[in-house]
Amino acid sequence: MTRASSNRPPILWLALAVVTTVLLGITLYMIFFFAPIERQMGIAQKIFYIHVPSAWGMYIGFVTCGICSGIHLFTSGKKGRLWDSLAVSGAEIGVLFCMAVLVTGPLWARKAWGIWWTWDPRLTSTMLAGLVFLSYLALRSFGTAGAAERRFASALGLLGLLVLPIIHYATRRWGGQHPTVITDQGGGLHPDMAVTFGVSSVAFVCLAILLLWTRSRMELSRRRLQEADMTAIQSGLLEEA
Amino acid sequence: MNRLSQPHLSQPYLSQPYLSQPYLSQPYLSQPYLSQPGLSQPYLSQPGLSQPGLSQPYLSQPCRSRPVRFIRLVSFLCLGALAFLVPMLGASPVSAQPEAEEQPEGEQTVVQSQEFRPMEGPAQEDVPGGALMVGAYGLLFLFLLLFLLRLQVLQAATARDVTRLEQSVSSAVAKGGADKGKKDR
Repeated sequence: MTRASSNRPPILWLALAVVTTVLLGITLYMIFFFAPIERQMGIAQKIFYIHVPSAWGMYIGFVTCGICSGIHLFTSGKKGRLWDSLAVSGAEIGVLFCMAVLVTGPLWARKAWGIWWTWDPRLTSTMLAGLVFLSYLALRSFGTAGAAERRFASALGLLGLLVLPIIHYATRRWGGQHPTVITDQGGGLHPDMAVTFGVSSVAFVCLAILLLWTRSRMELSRRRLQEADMTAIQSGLLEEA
Repeated sequence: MNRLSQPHLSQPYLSQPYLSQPYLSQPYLSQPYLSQPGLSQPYLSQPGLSQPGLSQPYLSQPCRSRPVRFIRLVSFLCLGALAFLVPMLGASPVSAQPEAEEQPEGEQTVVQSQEFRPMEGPAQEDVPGGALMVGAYGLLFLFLLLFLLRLQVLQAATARDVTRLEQSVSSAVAKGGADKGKKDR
């Protein structure tokens, strides 16, 4: 494979980037020009169309991190490098969307409940998950993380996976104030709102996958470069800086 | 007499040759020694031996030590707990709100929304929803922008490393060629 061809982004990546861009454009149009204004919440209800899809992005990132961390614990060499890169990328994407959820949520709450924050089970467990994966990233960022640090971080990532079902089932199990509009117990959405929400969800899922893919490719390249550097130093071709 | 002023605790004592820097640079602690295959990971993590460029390849070897086995055990336990946790949480959903008659009088409860309905007529709001909505969308796009900026910084760092490696390889190859020319002469 030539250098030019290896540097070129894959066709599938380009296709996903185009689809994501188009879907995000359509989503914004539908949110502001198609979906009706809600009766009680007013225009602030439109936060819903980015808040919940951000949570899907968070789930994608954290689940990827948890699963890939688990696999990384049992692999080594090139395969281990691949899974570890995916896990780091998943954690970063998850934390990014988790921050979006935790910021848009209080803005919603201010309008819906009159307060910025409450220790609702779902809110609390979401924040806990964010802190766990933030710790994972902090552990990874201590200098040049060696294999031992990477494996400890992987164990933490796997542990973070435990929090995700708690977030998902928190409202069903412990009640709380968090709305349950899109579950089978809720009264549902107006059809126009449901369509907008569906398109927005697909757009955010595509965005999360696209960012995950891009970040993991970058991480993998960085790891390969570091290892090539080490090999060159070991073989005496280069002197240590 | 002040104990610290004792001759054996004074500064010249600490500057003895066996505690000074040249001692640490003895051949048996230098680079060839570290590159021995028998050297294990704990040695590489010693402060005096922590040469990042040398420790990395050894740390990337597959580990079979006790901590790793412990991590694997913990991982198995986590997976087991996950397998129990999901059915347990999803098995018997309770009512989202407690029964109305169980609430003490005078205590205010917040009703959990279960549906969204479109508005009829002009909007009348006490809390400015528009500002909250703009804030939410603005912050979301700000986060995405910051993440793209981070990707750009990482990409620039990688490109810088590639350039440095290329230059090092070129100079090493040129140096090797010059040495070979001298030997031929």
